Amino acid sequence: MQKLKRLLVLLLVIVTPFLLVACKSAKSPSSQTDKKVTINFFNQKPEITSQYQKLIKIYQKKHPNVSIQLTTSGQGGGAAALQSKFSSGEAPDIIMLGGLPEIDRYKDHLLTLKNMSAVKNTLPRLISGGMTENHRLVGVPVDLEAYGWVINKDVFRKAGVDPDSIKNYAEFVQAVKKIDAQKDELGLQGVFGFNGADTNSITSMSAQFTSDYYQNDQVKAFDSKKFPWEKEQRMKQYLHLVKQYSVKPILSVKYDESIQDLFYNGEVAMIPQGNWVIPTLDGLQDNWTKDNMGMLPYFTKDDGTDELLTGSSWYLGISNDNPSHQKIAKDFINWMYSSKEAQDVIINEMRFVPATKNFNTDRLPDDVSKEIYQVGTSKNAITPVHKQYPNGFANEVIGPMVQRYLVGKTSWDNLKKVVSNQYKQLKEVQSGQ
Amino acid sequence: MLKKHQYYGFILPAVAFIIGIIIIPFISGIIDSFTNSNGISRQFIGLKNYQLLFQDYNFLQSFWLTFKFSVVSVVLINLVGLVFALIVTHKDNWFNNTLKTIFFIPNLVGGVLLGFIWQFIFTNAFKALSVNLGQNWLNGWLSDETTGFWGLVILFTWQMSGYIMLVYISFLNAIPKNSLEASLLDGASELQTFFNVKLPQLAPAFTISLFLTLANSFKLYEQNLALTNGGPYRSTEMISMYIYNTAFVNFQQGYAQATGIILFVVVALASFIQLYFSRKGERS
Repeated sequence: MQKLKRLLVLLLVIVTPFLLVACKSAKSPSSQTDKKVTINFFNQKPEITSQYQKLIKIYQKKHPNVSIQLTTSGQGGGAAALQSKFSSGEAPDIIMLGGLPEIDRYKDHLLTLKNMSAVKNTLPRLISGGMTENHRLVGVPVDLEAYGWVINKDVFRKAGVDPDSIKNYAEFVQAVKKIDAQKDELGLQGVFGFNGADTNSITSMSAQFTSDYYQNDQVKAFDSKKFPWEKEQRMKQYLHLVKQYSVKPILSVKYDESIQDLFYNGEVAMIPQGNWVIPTLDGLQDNWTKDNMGMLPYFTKDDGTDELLTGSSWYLGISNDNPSHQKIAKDFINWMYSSKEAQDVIINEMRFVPATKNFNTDRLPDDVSKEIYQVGTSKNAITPVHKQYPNGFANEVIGPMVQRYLVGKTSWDNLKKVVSNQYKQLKEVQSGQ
Repeated sequence: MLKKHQYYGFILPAVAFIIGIIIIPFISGIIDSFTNSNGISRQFIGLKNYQLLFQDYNFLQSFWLTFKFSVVSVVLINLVGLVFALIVTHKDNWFNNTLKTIFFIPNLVGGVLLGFIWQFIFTNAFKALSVNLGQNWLNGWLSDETTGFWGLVILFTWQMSGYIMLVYISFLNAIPKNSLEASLLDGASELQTFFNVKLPQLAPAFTISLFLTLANSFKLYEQNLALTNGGPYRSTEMISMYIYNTAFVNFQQGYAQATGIILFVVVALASFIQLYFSRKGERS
């Protein structure tokens, strides 16, 4: 026994120096690159991490003395992670910001971006989404996202419904009913795969009925102390439609399930999402979306001008905490928005629709993206406002209230009352009044 | 004997960590609870947070839910834990020893993972059962208020019972063999032995187990997050989750701190009361 112990100790003594050396050698390269400037990039979209890495690699090859460190945190934890970065004094240089409430929180740390070339190219309609309350521009939109119904064209074809012919709410309801009547032959679980478990999808759906009111002025939407009910009748109608024709139990359908199981396998005709589902679907089968995926807008005006809502959920900002890094941060963002090779990665691999003016649509890889760019640049285009709702409104107020309504646990009047009150209350508390 | 400087040398690192990690944040938390902090900037607003708290429907609801949950879980966990302990101490053979391990395993799995496992069971496995057996009540457990609550209780009981079982086992094994043999000679049945001989000697075990389960169920967070994330419609949002969401989703950190202080006071009070009565029970 005693011998064994001694042997063990001896072994440790022999091994330890090697371990220490191994640790040291692993670290040493970084000390040699001290002359390099290291920029920190905080990303809140985990699904595009590898593509950002690729962009960074390309950029670093051109600028050997720059190193860009990508930090990714998302899935609901991003905002909290960003805050902890700031409060620990390690503010990232390039920050992905989600909406004006987040911009407002860090406004004292954000650089004015007015003269950047990336900004000059931004679609004018999207600029107000990157501004502080007193209209100081601090953010560049990441991409152009479309909000509406993502439809399975194959199911529509088999049901004999032409999605392009649907021009108003009545026709939409008719199409839904027609598909529903053939549910069993088509092997559908429901017409809609509404992911009632996710408060985020409910919130972005609500934007279909609130965005018109603000006429693309995101700062106005952010300042507002009331929730606009102008289109409540239509909102109610859509919710009833979803309640009746969606997969049940409606509150147990989750985001991933609705896309990868229900929608991809043709068990539902529509899901309440946007073009961000393209990479997931094409990841399951190459070019799946090309023939199978289309989009339909919500019909809220019924005058033939109803279109998909298009806007950017995320904006890139630059922090002013580290003045020596600002120039490189700006250069990197300008490069991402103007150079052809960066754009190619963005449109072909991230499958983003660029939020910039005068983009040649022929370069976009699929029809849905082309359509979105067209809608997004038309003069009637409307930006969704759900990112400007007060902090917590999505997950704690409108999401849960609509969920209650969908399962009949609250009346419409009560929903309206609670949503209005809480909107006002959250807004007041958060603006420090 | 330790010299005085050696004595301080030993406790100093621990004390430094306790001050740095517990005491200082605790005090700064109390200070924050009087401000409208959003994590970046703060202003002193006095007792307003506390005032608002007692009118906040969501706070009161999640507090009441946590209370209900704690009562149900404490009873169930101790009951199940005790039954487990009695089963595995009944006879000392390989079968019971294997059982002991099996009962304890859930406790080795982390809370988040457990949450996801049970989420799969409640949604997918239950759904498959309901489709194949035609039992509709098995469908959509996590999308309903009541079954969502019981889902949490089941998960937590499943996780904690094995741990509490260990406490009971150690106390059951400490009961002198001769008193058990004496009761056997006197012709006591199994049940009589349990109620009249074993149970009274388990009083200190109850004190420990009740304290552990009570404190743990009041603090429950990660199981809640992974299993239901408060859903459906915030009906299973317990107090810890309410605090986290207020602080890191709403960014009302002053308000969240005030809630945290209230939780602290309540848990401390409940634990003291429970300890007081349990100790009293032990003595008599």
